[in-house]
Amino acid sequence: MEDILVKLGYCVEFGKVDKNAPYPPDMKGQDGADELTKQAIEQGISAAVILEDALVAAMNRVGQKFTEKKIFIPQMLMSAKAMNAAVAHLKPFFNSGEITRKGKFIIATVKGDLHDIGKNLVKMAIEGAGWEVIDLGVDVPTEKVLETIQANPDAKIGLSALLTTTMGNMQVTVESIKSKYPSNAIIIGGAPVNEEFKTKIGADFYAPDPQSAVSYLNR
Amino acid sequence: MDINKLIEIQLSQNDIEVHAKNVAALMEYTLESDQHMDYVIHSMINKAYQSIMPIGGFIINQIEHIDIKSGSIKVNNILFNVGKIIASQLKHAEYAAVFYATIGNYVEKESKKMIETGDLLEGYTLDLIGSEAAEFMASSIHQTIKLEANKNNLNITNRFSPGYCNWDVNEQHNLFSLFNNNQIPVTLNNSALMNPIKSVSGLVGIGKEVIFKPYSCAKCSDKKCIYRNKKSEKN
Repeated sequence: MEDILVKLGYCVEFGKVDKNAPYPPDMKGQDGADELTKQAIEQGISAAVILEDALVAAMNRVGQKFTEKKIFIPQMLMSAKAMNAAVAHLKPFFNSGEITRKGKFIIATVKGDLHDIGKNLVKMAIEGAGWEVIDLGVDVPTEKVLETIQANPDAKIGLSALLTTTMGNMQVTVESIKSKYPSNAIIIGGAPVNEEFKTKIGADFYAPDPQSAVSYLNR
Repeated sequence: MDINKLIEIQLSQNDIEVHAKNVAALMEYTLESDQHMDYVIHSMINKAYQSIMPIGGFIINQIEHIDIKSGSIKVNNILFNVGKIIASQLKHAEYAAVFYATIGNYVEKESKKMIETGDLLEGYTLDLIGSEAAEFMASSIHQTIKLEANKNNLNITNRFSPGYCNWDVNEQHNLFSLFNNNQIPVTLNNSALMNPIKSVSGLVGIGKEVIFKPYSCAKCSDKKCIYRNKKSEKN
């Protein structure tokens, strides 16, 4: 059992999606995350063990390496693709309630800002850590965030801004959320924001990278 | 020099230069180090080239006023709060060429589709290629403005866009109003963002005494920008 979970974790960590995937080249022709997850389920390994011990653990390693600049965006994207291939086999177990998500996370790039790669990386990392992510996209008005919180009252929130000129919109959104939903934690991120700005606008956490957002949510 | 007249340029797909090694560098790769990335980048460049529609244009107006202290300039009776960095770069400019450049919306749509269907790396790569292609088109327009200025023994500045160097992106609406009633293929939404997304807009200063200064990453607050210290100038 351990062997297949180790292999599965390795596939996610190094972005081996399935047997036909050419990446990474040194694993050409070998089973990938798709086949190994299927085999693990057939062997009777519980979905929760597959998720936590192989997939979430692998994505944690990926996030850590990204933080340490040992890998970059492309490798993270390949890992996320492998993770998605594995999670597709676990969907029935999520639907039946045999495994549950850790919680809900609403993520958006603030109004006036179209940049989404940072938001997408955080989304992948948080999904990979076992959370359900509701992605509102880019150029998201405050009202849309508030409506989504109303429909998902326990959700944590993540807001991204890449332009110095849209930081003001982030402040407006954070203040609106906090006035209506003071107990919902808000994580902010993006190139121009920092710890000082987080404190100034009343957000709960500044995430300089995807893995720190995961660590904060898992506290 | 033609004042207040829109000059448009359309390039063919093959005129646009996007180099695989530059795209790889933005992704922190060298092509030699990873055959798979080499394949992905080249195949996405080919995909982008199938349907990009590069077009751009500019319109020249007199600058009525520049105030470096307040970081503002006035063109056609419209006050732009461009910020101190840009205002000081425009010092001595007599004219402002307001420009747009776009490659159409094929790349953004395809990239989004690929990401939604799980081809994350390919979608991300295509998006980067689209940005590079739009910047190339913007550089071509910049070059044309330079030729126009040089014909009149004038010099040009670098180009500046709302959203950067503390120039509020909301000023795009005022900037686009300088195109008057000319129909251009780029529109703005309520948040002042451009459609197609892969578009560049901004202005270039023109004058006898202006100096072209390369972009200075040290002045920019975007410490995590993937372009940081990779390009000393954009044209």
